[in-house]
Parts: sequence; structure tokens; C-alpha cells
Amino acid sequence: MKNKKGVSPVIATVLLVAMVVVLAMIVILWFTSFTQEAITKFDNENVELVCRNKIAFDSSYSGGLLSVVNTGNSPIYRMNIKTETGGEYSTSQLEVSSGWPQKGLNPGKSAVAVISADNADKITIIPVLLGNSDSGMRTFACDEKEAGKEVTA
Amino acid sequence: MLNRDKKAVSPIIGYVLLIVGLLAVSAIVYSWLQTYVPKASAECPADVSIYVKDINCTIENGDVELRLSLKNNGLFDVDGFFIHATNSSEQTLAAIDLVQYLPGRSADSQIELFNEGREPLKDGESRGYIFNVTALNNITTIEIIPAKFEIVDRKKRFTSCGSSKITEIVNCKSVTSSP
Repeated sequence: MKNKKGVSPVIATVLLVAMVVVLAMIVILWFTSFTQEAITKFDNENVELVCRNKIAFDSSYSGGLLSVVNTGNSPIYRMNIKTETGGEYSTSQLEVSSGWPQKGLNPGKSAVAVISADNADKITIIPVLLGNSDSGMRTFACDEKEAGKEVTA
Repeated sequence: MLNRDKKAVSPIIGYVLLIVGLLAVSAIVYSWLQTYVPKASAECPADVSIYVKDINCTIENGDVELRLSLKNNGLFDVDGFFIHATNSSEQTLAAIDLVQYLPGRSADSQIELFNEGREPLKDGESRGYIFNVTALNNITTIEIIPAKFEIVDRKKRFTSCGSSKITEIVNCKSVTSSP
């Protein structure tokens, strides 16, 4: 029975294209889970670059008060506080209620926030920036090694 | 009997699909990678400099007044400055904004522009300020960061010159007013 036909070439092509599209979508979804959505500031510059090159601030801690002065030219939206106490690490974000400005710390501005880190052996503060992304405004915590600063308690 | 002369997608359509796919992927990758290209940023020239020509802090009948004279001794015009202070010797970082204590300024005032922003402070020029800092009781140090407008990509951007920051120790003296 050699003259019996299988699926027509058109159907075969449609099936092939459909399978390729589905496979491509699965691969793209899987691959995008490994990459971060680009968050940008200013003229479409990635926040990672801003963290690395454009963030500058002075800080000090005394008697439960953390003082920060933004000496750079980029606003610092929030500040993450990483404390080391007896070998244990904990990270938290400075709340607006602690004294941090609601809209972030603009260039040249200063802020004094209340934190409880008197028993900490080491305090590291890490800037958090606000940037644009395809899904709207998003925050981005800078890399501790690139933009974090140790504050002596 | 197999029908071997039936064709699937023609080679032309195949090429078109391939090129369109490549262009789409290229555009996506390009727009993503473009965000990682460093952009020109507003940077303050290294030779921007101002110094405290004269400083005087007095406490009279509970009123604390800081008189300050700034001089531009750099090579560039300076458009304004940020000023912060400490009011206790225990504070190591000046984090109190002093601009708000200038006459006519509010708590939201962030920066003081020379000549209300109309004219910069040219090199060699000086300008005096009087801060009423009674609310702070005392001033122990001040830190001043000069700032200037820079043109980047044909846009005027205000730039803080953090590397030209100056620190001055202040000693407020009590003055007894004569009867």
C-alpha cells in the first residue's frame, strides 16, 4: 500500500512552524529567568552603571543616629542597612518613619535616620536607586562591593 | 506512491522568515545591551574651588548667628553651594542643612544659588551670608560643597562638586550686648 499518503505538506509545515514557535517561547521564558529586566535612570543608563560610577555619599553612625550626605549627582532613593552582630548578618531597609526622606536623598541633601544597631560589630549601608523599567518604576539595590560603605559604630 | 514533487515553504519565504527573525532578535539584544553603555555624565571640573574667607559665630541673648563670607578661588564660575553643619562635637558628619536658616528660605530649601541664580560667583569674587541658627543652639563645624551648572548633551544640569568639599571648624562665642 505504497500509494497511501500521510499528512499533506501544508499541514506538516503548519505543524512544524507551530512547534518551533512553542519551543522558542519555552526557551525564551526559561532564558529570561536567568537575566534581569533592564532598569534604567537618566538617559536610558542601566542602574548597575549608575551604582558603579555615579553614587557618592558620606555617612556616620553615632548613638543610634545614622547620618548620610549625598555628595554625588544621583538621587539615593532608599538605603539598605546590613549589620553584623556576633557573626550573624541581618539586612533591613531604612524606613521613612526613621527619618529617611520620602522621595529619597537628592544630590547635596543630608538625612539623619534612627536605627538600632548599637550592638552591631559592623554596619554596612547600601544605596537603593529608583529607575524605569518596562513594567514601570522599580527599585534596585546596588551591589554591596561596588557601592556599599562600612560605617563605624 | 509518495508525492515527492510537492513543496513546503518556498526558499524565498524561508529566507525572508530567517532575516525577519534575525532582525527582531538583533533589535531586542541591541536595546538591552544599549543600557549598559556608559552615558556622558555631568562632572564637576577638578579646579572648582571656594574657600571660607571669613567666618564669625556669635551667641547674643540666646540668638545664634553665623556670618560667613565665601570666595571663589578656583578657575571656574560657581553657581551655588550646599552647606551642612554639626551642632555637637560628638557628631562626625555634618548633616544639618543650613540653607533653610538663611532669611526667606524654607525647610525644603536645598541649595543656595549665588545672586538668586542670575549670575554665578566668578573667580576672585566673594559673597557674604548670615544664617540665623538659633534653633540649633550651637554650630561646631560646617561643610560646604560647591555646585555648578554643566552642559551635557545640550542640557543644563546642576552638578554637585563633592570632591571640592571644604570643612571649617566653628567656634561660637557669647557676646554680651552693652546696656
